[in-house]
Amino acid sequence: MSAFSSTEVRSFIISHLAVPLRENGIMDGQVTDDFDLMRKGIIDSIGLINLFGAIGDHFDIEVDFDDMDTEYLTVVGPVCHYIAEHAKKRSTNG
Amino acid sequence: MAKRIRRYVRGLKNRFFQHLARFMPGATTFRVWCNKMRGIRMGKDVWLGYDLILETEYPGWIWMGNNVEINMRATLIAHFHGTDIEPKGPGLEKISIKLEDDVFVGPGVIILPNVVVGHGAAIAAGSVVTRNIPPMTLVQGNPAVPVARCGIPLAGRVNYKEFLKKLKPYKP
Repeated sequence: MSAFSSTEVRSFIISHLAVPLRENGIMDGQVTDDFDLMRKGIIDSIGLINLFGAIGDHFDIEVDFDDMDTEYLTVVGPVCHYIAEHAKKRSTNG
Repeated sequence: MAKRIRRYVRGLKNRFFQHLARFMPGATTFRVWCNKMRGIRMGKDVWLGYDLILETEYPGWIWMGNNVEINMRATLIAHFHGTDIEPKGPGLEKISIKLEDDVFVGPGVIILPNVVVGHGAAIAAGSVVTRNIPPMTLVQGNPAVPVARCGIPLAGRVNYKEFLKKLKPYKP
């Protein structure tokens, strides 16, 4: 497992959700840090699990969100940052 | 004749309490009491939402553990003509639907006969449950299939995002 940036996670999320984003008329540039995927109706709870699973498979990591602020669980910026930081810590700790 | 009258009166009592439970307030109190009067066996801290249909003819064939939460317009069908009931444990020979402790049933869910829902399991809105659900599992769809493992149960007014945070994608 290697470290990766939050930008890479964001790119993956946007590509993974390309269809629902397009269906909702949302361009890539509109997915800002404070974009809440659930509040905007892009994904539901099952979609969120699938997204996290896909991120885990793509980056070859297993992320647990225990330390993440529940409030930001569905917000793009904090999620990307959390996952990238999580991977970095795991990578550092071997 | 007397047997038929007794059966009719029993059915009338069953329907009376069923309709009261469907529309009257009291998710943890009055609705629970009405359904106990109908013969459903329940543990403590059960939460029953609005307009539930908890088996029409044989409510006694439903069993619920503690801290079970059933949301609005869910339907539990415990009998179907020609269906044999598989015993769900000692003393539960005539139980068709068994909801173990901390089970969460979403709005509009349909649960069919001969099903055990394992403790801490959650059923997503609108799902149709046709077979047993393992403990601490989130299921969804028609027929409902496992989609995630639950870190904590959702029943009992748990914070929804806290529940989501602890879900793990299902890998059989």
